[in-house]
Amino acid sequence: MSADVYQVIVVGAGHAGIEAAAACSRMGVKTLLLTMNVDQIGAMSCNPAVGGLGKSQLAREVDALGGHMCRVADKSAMQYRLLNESKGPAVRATRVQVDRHEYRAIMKNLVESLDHLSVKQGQVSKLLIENGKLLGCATTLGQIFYAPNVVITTGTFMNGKAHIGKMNFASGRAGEPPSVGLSDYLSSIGIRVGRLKTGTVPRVDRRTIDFSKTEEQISQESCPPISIFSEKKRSDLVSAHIAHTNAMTHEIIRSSLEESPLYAGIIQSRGPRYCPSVEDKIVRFADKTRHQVFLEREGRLTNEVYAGGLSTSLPYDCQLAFLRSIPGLERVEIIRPGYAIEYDYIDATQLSLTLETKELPGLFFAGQVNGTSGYEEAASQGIYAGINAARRAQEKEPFVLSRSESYIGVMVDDLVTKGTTEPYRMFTSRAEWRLLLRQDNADTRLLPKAQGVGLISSKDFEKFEARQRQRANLRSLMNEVRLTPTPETNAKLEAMNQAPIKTLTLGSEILRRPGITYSDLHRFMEASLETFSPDDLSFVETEIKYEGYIRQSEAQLNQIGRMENLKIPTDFLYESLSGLPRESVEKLSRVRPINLGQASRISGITPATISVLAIHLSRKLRMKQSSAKGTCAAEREFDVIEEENITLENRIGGNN
Amino acid sequence: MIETICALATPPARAALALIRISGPSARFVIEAMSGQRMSHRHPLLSILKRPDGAIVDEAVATFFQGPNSYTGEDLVEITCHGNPIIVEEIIREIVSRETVRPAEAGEFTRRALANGKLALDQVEALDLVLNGTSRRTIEFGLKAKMEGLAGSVADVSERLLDLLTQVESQLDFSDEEVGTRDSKALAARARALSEELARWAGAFSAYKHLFQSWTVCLAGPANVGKSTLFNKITQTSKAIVYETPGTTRDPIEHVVDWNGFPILFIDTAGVRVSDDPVENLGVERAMLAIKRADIVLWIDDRGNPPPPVVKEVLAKKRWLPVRSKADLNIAGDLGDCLAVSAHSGAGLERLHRAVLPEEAPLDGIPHRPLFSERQYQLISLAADDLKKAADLMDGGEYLDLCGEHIRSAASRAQELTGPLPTDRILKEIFARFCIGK
Ligand SMILES: Nc1nc2c(ncn2[C@@H]2O[C@H](COP(=O)(O)OP(=O)(O)OP(=O)(O)O)[C@@H](O)[C@H]2O)c(=O)[nH]1
Ligand SMILES: [Mg+2]
Repeated sequence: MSADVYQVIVVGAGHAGIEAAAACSRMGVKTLLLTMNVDQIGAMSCNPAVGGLGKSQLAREVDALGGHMCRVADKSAMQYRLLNESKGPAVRATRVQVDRHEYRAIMKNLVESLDHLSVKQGQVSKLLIENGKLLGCATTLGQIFYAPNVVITTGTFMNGKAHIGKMNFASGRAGEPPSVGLSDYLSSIGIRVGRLKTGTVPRVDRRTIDFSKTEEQISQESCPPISIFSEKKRSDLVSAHIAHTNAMTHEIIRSSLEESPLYAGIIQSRGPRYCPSVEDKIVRFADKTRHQVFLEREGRLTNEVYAGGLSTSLPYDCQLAFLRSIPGLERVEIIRPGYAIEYDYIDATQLSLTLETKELPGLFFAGQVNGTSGYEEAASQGIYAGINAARRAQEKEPFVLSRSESYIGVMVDDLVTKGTTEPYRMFTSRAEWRLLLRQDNADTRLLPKAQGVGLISSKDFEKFEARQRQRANLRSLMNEVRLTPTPETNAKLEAMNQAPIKTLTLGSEILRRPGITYSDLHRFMEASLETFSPDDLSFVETEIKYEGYIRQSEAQLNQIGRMENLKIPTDFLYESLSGLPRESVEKLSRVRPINLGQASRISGITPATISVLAIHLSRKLRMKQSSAKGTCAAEREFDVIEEENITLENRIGGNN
Repeated sequence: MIETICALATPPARAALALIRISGPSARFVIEAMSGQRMSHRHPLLSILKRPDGAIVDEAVATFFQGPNSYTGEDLVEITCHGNPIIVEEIIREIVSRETVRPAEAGEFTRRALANGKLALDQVEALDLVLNGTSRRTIEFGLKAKMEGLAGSVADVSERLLDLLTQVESQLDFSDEEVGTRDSKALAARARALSEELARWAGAFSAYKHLFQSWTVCLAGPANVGKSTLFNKITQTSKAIVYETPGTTRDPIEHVVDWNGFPILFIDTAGVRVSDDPVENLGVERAMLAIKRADIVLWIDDRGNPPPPVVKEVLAKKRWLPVRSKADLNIAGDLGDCLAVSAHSGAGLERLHRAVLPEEAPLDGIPHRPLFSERQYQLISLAADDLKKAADLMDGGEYLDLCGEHIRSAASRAQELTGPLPTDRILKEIFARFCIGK
């Protein structure tokens, strides 16, 4: 019996579940990982790739928290690309296409060998709750496992239903059974559940593609490994290929729209706008004459090729017909058709900023089940929920990341504050502090914090420290550069379309000029930069080039922090506040924000409501402080806030 | 439970009529209980207000406004009663004796209107002009601003800023294949044009800001030249002490006058001289400060002498006017092209009037509805600077993420005139315009 008692149970072993369980294991917490099928641990059901725009920042954060996603991606890599290289360090992103079979095998092996972690196959059907306390969970086979903390990461499995044409069948991930009953059970205990839709592309047979008619896209030499802990990339990388749809393809699709479950009205739930089906693309952007198709091998030991860009739920015949209209795919054979999938997700506004349900302490939700899409979004929620479940098991303070220190913080805050009605994907434009949140500084932002809670091995920490030294060296190298106004120097500058210098100039000043990068500066340096990784080069370049902006952002953050961090007690009675409109009271009571900043981001909450709240909170705090002889600094801060509000009040004047 | 609030809206003095307001969920119940009549939206009813014991409190007109169609956005009752403070007090006491009603805090009605979205922040600022404006033009301006609001202008500017931002953000968050490459020169040109437009919008503010920030006229000059006498004459007060020995005035004395519809703040100051009396010297320091802050300085001297070098230095950067006082005495001195006035005879005062008025700023030719507070001016000027910076960086070939930062900042500033910019707006725009998908 005692063998079945754990500190944390993680339900589901997808990208979220793995990171959650592994984080608990690193933190020395006795954990059980329960999954419906242990063969599918770490399966990639959609695009076999890690990273990409807005996502590599998340992946790097998982990496900096000691997670496995990036390391395993490097081990199973097929092709690398560095995206947005010329658009700036804050949006630069690494994308690794991986061998999905290797990825899964390595991940499974890794998960099975972690300390403090047991892996079992079983489908959870309900939770054990007694007197409002979470005790564990039970499976469909009647097995019972005890733990005061349960992390649910069931992805798209809850009540999954796949659609191909007008055919549909219950399904979890590609070809796997769904988990039926769990979401009904969750609804029965009062958790609000909604329905979303996503889709995937057909997989085709590599032997039936004429690659000579496609464009080759080779792996990018200069792209560094995605994990900061990987020393080097594999040597056996392969290329991807690009093909294009044409008028004929579009015609075939258009003429079979009524066969599409989307257009025939069979699927009503919302799909992701950023990952539309090819049907959607053709209907909504009728003027576009062609679309790209990325042909990526799913692995080295398989002939399955992922037809990226062609997510579809049209009937099989139709999929085959439109594929064959694409140059290079004239004789193509489909191995697995594309399909759309509908699934249940939970309304994340029921969760707190640690992804724990507010109503049932100890119950956490992470990953696609919270309405997100993408492996990186899932993995980063998983690790975050896992850490917090472990912290709770250890009876320690929660581990909270803010919007200004991480994309994880942005995502979690967005989810629990606003909820989502379509699959949520990360974009850099969601981050207010984008210049501070780069993939090149994920480790400096998060790793020391992660080490503080026991997530980082001493070996990894040494690597990090070595890296920091390396960056410091590079920084002083760049700072030491002095340009003397010789004709030779100015000739070089002019060759770069740059204004000549008149006095002795620091290299860092030149680097701050628009359009100048470290490689330009390098022309004035004697030292070689070869020994430095592209990541470090980008890191140091950015720190120098954006120094002014970074400092300004930090100053702003401090200023905002005052308001932002004004705490709202969790049991705060919004009804008791006069002057708040009813809808605001309802929304605030539902989300129960922990501070004024979070409150201000709830959709539909007006700045006016925030002012009313601010006046009240700061006043209350002052009363508390004056009775307890409050600290001067804090009091002064609230004075400022109150002053602002009071001037508004005074301006408004008497009782008008 | 949202509490119901009640307060007197007119000044607490004996008058023909007084207006009492009740706002909140029990407003209707309270008035129906007191009058014994059913109220309907916007129908004024002559009511006999009674206490629960049946005693008559007053005969009044009550109007009910059903939320959200009321000033506060909540159920609201306005009672126009007889303006005897004893009656008013009794009615209010009767109303707030109900369990769910309490007296309103200062500004609470407007705060509720703001919270319920009945008023935007800029409209509250306009309301301030209407309520606290010290001249006819200010009030006119405030009324117009409150009715029109800046929302239309903000929407227009935000729309274009958002469009620009969408172009930039789509480049940052999606691949070129999905959204196409944008010509950064063209983007920079658009940013620059918008920046110039905003700069003109903000720039116009300084030309007419005297409408809401009092135009300050400082009376300065040597001791005993008759500054205080002139001040009293102009302001038609006797605020300043006048005496025949020099060094009379110490603290600056202020008074606002409505002149030709403009609020003009006159300041009388201590005579500028070096004295043995340390207190008087402190007064001169204050006079110098007042000179520095004023929009226009009248340098008054009964001999028409120019100001001493220390003062001249300060005046060099300002609008100022030499005035020769005590013109009735015909004191010998350098007459120059001084404006001669006499506080005693009133000679020259008419000319002085015209000379100190701010220049009339035309309100047309401004690209948008005129701004009317320092906060608004700051926001739009900063937004203009942001856009200019973005344009310069784009032209210089700087990384787009950095340029985007400035445009984002401009967009959120413009939006802040009325409320914050939600980040999902940008993504929504991008998805509506570009074909995106992996
Ligand atoms: N004849 C005549 N006497 C004036 C006039 N204005 C002021 N005086 C007299 O001048 C004397 C000084 O007047 P104030 O107004 O106190 O002068 P001030 O410049 O304020 O003096 P300080 O405050 O000491 O600097 C008083 O005796 C006034 O009666 C004027 O227009 N005509
Ligand atoms: Mg005087």
